[in-house]
Amino acid sequence: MSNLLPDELKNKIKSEYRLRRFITILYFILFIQVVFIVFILPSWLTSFYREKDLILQSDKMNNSISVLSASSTKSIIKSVNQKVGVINATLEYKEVVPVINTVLTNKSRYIKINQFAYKSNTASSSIMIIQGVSATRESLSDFIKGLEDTHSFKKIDSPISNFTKDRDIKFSITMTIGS
Amino acid sequence: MSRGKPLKRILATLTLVVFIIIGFYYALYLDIKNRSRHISKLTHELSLQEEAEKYAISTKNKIESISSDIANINNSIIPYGGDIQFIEDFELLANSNDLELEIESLLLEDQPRTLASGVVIFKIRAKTRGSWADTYRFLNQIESLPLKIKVSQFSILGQEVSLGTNKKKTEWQSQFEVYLLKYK
Repeated sequence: MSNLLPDELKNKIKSEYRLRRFITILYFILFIQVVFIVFILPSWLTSFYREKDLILQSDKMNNSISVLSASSTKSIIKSVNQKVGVINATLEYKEVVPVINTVLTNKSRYIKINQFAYKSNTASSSIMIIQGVSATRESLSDFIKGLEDTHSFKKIDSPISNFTKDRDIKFSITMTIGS
Repeated sequence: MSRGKPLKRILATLTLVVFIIIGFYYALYLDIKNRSRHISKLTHELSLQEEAEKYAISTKNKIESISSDIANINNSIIPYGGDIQFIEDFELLANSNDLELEIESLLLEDQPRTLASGVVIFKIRAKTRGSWADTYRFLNQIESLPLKIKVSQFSILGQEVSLGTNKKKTEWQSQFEVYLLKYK
């Protein structure tokens, strides 16, 4: 093939061709970049507005929590717990009246009680001592058995000396209530 | 021949624009990445806040629903300065049951546990004289008071008393120690 163009011109044309090729490639790259930006823009907009929305929600929630005033709620709970704790620790006890009622319910007409003595030991334990006179041994025995059958007492102590006499027996019974 | 220079200028401009756009694109990418990170952090915080809010609301509702119980707890303690009134009410209660009441001692006791709650233990030691039924009723009323009370000790002794001409009646003497709480 014959070489019609001088070398200098040929080189210039080649150089211009390379430049145009680069420019074309750059245009292509530019086009791709623009396409990328167009595609990424919705993501950016979404994240922008989502972030804004979340910040608003967070502020609103912070305000609502502070309105609920967690500290005042806490102090109410703390104060009530303390009071309940103190009440339970110092004023909890086995009430006297139900114990007296149990004793009186089981008492027959042959039993006469002269004295009740109650002492609260702990919140769940107390002692009741009853003293009186029983007409007969049998009526005293029935009375003690009746008290035992109620299962209201943890322990019932009746000294054997209660049964020394067979009539007009002066007795003393110690009953332990609770644990 | 004269086309070489404008082409080079176009090439330079395009190269510059491409790099600028790469820079912009990278900045946009970083921004989206940071925002995503921030969004996930905010979402996590929000879910924690939501839980905290739910807990706060439920606690507040619970407190509102047990407000009468809280009032009962508060009312079960003698108010500040209410000790004299209580003693008078106590005497009145005994008198209304036809009992002679004698207060033997009054004591205010501090305990480490009660100090933190701003209350003291109010101890009353007293004795009564009267019939069995009246003493029993009085004891029952004491234990049913709206104020939380502890009957720490109680004893009742029946003694026969002569009424003169062959007539006798049983008189009951009781001794008791009760504990209450009082605001300081």
